[in-house]
Amino acid sequence: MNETTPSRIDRVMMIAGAIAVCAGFVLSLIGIPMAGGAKGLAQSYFFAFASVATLTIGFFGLTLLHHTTRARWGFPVLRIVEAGGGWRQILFVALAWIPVAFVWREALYPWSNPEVVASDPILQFKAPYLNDARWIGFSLFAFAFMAWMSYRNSLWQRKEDETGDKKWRDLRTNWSSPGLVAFFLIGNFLYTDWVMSQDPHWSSTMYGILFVVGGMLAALALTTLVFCSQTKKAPFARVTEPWLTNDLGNMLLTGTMIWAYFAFSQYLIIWSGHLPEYIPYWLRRSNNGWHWLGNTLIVTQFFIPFLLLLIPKVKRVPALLGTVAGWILLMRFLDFQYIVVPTYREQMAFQPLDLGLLMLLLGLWAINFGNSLGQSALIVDRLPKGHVQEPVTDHA
Amino acid sequence: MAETPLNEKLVEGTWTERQVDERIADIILDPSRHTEAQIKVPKFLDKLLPAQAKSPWTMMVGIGFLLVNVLLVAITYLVLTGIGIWGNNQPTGWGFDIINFVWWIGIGHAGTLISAILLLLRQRWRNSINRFAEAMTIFAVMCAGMYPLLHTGRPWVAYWLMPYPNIMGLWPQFRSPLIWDVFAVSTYFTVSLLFWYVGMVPDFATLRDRAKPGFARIAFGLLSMGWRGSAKHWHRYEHASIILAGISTPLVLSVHSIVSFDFAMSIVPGWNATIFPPYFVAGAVFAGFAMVILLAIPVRKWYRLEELITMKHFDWMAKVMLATGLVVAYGYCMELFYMWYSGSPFETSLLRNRVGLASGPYSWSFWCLILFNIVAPFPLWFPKVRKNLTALFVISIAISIGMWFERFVIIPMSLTRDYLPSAFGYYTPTFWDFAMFFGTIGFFVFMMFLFVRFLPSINMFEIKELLHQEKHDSDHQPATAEAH
Repeated sequence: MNETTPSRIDRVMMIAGAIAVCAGFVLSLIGIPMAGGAKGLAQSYFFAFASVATLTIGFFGLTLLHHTTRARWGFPVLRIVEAGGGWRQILFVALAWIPVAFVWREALYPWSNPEVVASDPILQFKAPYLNDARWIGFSLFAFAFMAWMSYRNSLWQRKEDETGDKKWRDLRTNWSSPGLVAFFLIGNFLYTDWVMSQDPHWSSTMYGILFVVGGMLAALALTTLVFCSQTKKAPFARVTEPWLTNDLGNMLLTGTMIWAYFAFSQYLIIWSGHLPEYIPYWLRRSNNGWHWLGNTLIVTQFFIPFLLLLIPKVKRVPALLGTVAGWILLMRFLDFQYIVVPTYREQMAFQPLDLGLLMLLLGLWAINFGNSLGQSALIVDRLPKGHVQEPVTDHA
Repeated sequence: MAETPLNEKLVEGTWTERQVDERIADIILDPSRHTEAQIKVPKFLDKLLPAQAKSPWTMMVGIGFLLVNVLLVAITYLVLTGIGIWGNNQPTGWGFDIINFVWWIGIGHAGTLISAILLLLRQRWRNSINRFAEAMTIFAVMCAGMYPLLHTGRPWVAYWLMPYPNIMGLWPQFRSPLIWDVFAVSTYFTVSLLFWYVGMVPDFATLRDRAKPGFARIAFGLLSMGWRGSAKHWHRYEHASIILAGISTPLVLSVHSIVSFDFAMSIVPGWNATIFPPYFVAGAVFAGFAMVILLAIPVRKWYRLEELITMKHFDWMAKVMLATGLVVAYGYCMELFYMWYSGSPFETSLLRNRVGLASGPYSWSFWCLILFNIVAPFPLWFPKVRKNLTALFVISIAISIGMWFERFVIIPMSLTRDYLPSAFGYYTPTFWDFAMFFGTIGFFVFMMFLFVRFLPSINMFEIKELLHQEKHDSDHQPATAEAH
């Protein structure tokens, strides 16, 4: 077999990240005067932070899901998933969280402002949960948990690669299964804290899980995009088979359907109830231009990828699958905009600072991601039967 | 029962295709050949009952038949008298009827999941249990359908629920999730029945070919619709299976989601919760797998099917049960937390009613629910428990009870404590509520055991295909392969 050129996806990601940082920086400078002061800056930064954090948390969840199920499709892309949700990325998100927690908390969260709480009986009722110490403490706990879990898993993965001993694999599974349970609970409460509590009078039992599932879909889309862009290069070329892209496509299809099912259920139940406590969430998103984005997302985020992913050829040709995955990823960021921003911005309008800060943080994230990818072989050393039969040691 | 070793293979022992046919077909065609055990009965009964009556099949069908008669009496009395014989009264317009409807619909879901979703996911472990689980779906949906049908009070005009041209200006209220239920459940039943029947056609042909001349040969000949096993027949069969699986898969989600909308679309405290659709679907699969295990354990033992329904199957079913149980537990946590977090006085009051043993009239049922649905399945985390059939049987019973309590907690608890204290009340089921409930359980058991006796309860041709695949895999497994 003619060996193909080695993949340099780590460098590609770092270069793309550096370009995004520069572009994001320029766009942010342009956008700051239009942002409406410090509060506007805080809001734009929060949108960028929430998007990047959700992507990372989604990657972390995918890692746990893979170690729990050990599904065949996960092995060739495991290194990509680990790089996206590894402890380095989690520490990066924790650093990005610091301005939200310690600089702009009062600007973003009404319950953090004692004067607002003093005049609001509902916020007083919720004070045992919505208070600064618990909010900060829980986020720190969540970061520590995720970083610790991902560090342990990558350590055990390396040990398995070195020794071939299956006890490391079993350890990962044994820890990741309860870890996955904890992940969903922690993820739910993180998004209750970070996003839902910005509108402290509103709540939905579906909200947290919708974010977690949305994050995992975004992570899977980026994983598929990276993998499909490298299928002609070593070592990915050796494991690229139609069944693998087909499985990745089916996973994307499943993720898209689950996201749509959750989002539609939440919408339908709140709309039909039409209760004064819950309906303002949709009223804000159904007026002042936001309805255009919402209606567009129904088509672009659900129907287009759903119908495309039903076509077998799309799932078997890496270039086509990669394009659909890239589209889904793009739509995920638009969806974050639709979910997060209307809470504090009544009128929908293009805000350069939103895009600038998102590019800046995503650029830094991509540099870190590329760096993590370069730390080890691009695919795991020992693949299960059905992939390749001999150990793969192409990329040091 | 001691812990049973877990074999990685899905079919244990050495089997030829003929032996597979013999073992399964003989349950129907020549029951004297299969080595069926006799149930131990108390001494006084031992002398009274003939040997035939002590066979497990006769016992189960007998108990089922007895309860079917109870059901018939309950239905007759209900139709003659009216639904006032049930405990439903203001403020509880829905009681046992809707609780049992949701419970039975949920139980059916495992069948569709095993037959359709696991087929699409190419999971081989479904092969021994899919036929069995599909039958369970059909009979569970039949049991479920009785409740809303009888709750209309005039089941003979149930066709009014369908839109049809008429001179009386009748038209269903399409904004009501109850009407969505009519379409969802009837579609689900039709597709499940088709899937079940189409799946049995090759096995009917095997039975036709093995049967002696007579009624059985004629009956199976008619049912097999001229199946000859030609390449064209198999090609069309595979296509039909995939199409039906594709149609059934969204039905798993849609049916129980729509059932959850019966509650979630209203504004009753505790019902208008956005988590309801996925949490109902997970609960349905949770209860359904518990019922599959409950039935599979005795049938496997009585019909000596240990080599075909292996411990690997039970291990997988227990894992699915654990995973869906965790989703259900997640749903409970979210419900309780956001009841408090909402700050709504109605929701927080309901929370106190549910959790506070002293403050809520039905809080005991909430704690039963937690015990049966969260605490009892917890041991499934341990592989030793998943390999112990006694433990699995006990846990499955606990889950079946727990899932019934879940619906009990949702329905009367919210209806008797909603907005106005003047409308508060208490729900007490009557003898006839229990008669209907145990009657449907009897109907389910009766139908399941008739099915086991008269239709192929294990998919013969898929087992033969599995044997072929496993042989192929073992012949072609390279010595150097690193199996993770």
